[in-house]
Amino acid sequence: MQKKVKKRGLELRKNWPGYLLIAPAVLAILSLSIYPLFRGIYLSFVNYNLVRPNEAIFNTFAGLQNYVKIFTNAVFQQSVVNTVKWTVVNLVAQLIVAMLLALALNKKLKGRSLYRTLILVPWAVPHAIAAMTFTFLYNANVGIINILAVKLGMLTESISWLGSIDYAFWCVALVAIWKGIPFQMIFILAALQGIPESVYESAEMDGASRWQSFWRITLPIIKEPLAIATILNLIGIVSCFNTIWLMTEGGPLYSTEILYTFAYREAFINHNFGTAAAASVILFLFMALFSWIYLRMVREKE
Amino acid sequence: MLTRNQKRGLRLAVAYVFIILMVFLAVLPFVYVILTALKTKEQIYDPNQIIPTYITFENFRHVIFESNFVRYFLNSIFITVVTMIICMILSVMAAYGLTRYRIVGAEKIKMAVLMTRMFPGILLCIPYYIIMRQLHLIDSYVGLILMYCSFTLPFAIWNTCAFFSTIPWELEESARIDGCSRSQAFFSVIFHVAKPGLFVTALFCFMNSWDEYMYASIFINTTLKKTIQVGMKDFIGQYSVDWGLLMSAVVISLIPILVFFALVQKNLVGGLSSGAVKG
Repeated sequence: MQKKVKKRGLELRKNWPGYLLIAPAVLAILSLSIYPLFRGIYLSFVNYNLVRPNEAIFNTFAGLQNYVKIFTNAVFQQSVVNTVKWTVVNLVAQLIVAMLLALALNKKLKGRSLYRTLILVPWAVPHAIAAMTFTFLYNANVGIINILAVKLGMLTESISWLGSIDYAFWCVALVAIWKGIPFQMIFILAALQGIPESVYESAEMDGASRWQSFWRITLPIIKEPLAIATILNLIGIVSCFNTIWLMTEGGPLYSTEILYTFAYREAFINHNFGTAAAASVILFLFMALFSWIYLRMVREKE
Repeated sequence: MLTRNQKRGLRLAVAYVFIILMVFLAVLPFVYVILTALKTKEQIYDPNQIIPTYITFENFRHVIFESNFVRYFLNSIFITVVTMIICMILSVMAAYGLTRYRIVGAEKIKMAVLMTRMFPGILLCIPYYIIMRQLHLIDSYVGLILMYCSFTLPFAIWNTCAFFSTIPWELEESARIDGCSRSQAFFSVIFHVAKPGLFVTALFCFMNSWDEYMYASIFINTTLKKTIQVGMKDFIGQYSVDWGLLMSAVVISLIPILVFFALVQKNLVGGLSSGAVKG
């Protein structure tokens, strides 16, 4: 026991420059991420309505009142439904297209690296710019989508895509999917490139069809990187604020409102930090839960 | 019945068609953006001028010389470069400490760093507003850079650690046997080996902060201090949008991204998947 303590002391003395080197980064993360996280969670239990900062209850403990307030709010309820819909639509669409693209790009094609670079363009473009570009393309007066559709006779007159309750959600989702595919694809492609060709050749010799070798060989091998990529992608999808806010601001009639935009609206438009913090905590829990379910699903198949 | 070779040929053809279709979908919007930026106002509203028969650089001239756009562009460059430098210094130090010294709980620290990426930006943003107001850092670049570090730093640390674990550290040992001090050995030998990896990491930090919109729109109030992503909204009026100007602004703001692409072309795929980046 004595010896162990002594050894640990010696270890510490020998490695002190290491601790010194990681200290600034650890301090930065503690003060810039961990502390605000806990402060945010704390705020969700506090009365903090900036519209009425002189009220007696301002900055006092509120218990679960903020949570009760948002759960009885119809817009919040709709934003929860929208968040689930938004996540599932984005995730499924991105996963399928990215998988097909990665499988196609994994073949020996002429000009493969050129295609790969060009396909990465949507990922590299800043979110705000993508949002403004597509707002332009969807526009009722000058948008190319309307112009072409009318010219080709598919529409009798222009549609204000982003102003319509029926279409806005899908139009914005399309932009998020368009922007999200390359990231997912790169991960799958990197994993696919690690599988030696000989594995498929021997499977083919044994009479396995393409379909079978995909499910039996490819998928199990790339499962782990796929799971990591999907969770990272999920974080991006759920916090896809810029695209939604710049295209529709959650409208029309809250049809594109997700938890993230709801929390933003509560905080910086309605100035109620308490309920906004409560909504963001729900969002955080949603992300954690979704990742957990996904990881469980991946593990179960083993 | 198709022969095996025909089947293979067919599959290849399908792959080509699919990829080319996706390339078009990825790039075509921006082709149209460039075309629009080169049109006059009348042309933009004219369905017969989808592909313009004559072009003008008037939009670009206006954006560059008669708006605040260049100022916004430089503001963004300043903020992103400072964020990038801070993140790189801190993460190289931390990664060196974590890989070259025996740190108690090193794996746990790395996992905790990764976990911070799960925190939704809006959950941090609300307390930031209160903290920054107390520190008088609202409408200041110091505050904004600190917040930008909160999302670029975890990624930079994680990525640098990944690169450092692949470096042949015997090089450092032999340099030290030759009489170098530890820091000399690092800067004269290891730094050169790690340069490509650090370069990719730095550029991803650059991209992430260049992309940021929400914090900048909340915390910067002074017009001339705006970043490029927020400043872009200047061209969107209350009732009408000058699409020609907006689209030329989009084209100009994509220049750094193009430079970035040209620079990391080779290391992009590896750099992306090893460090797990999300823009």
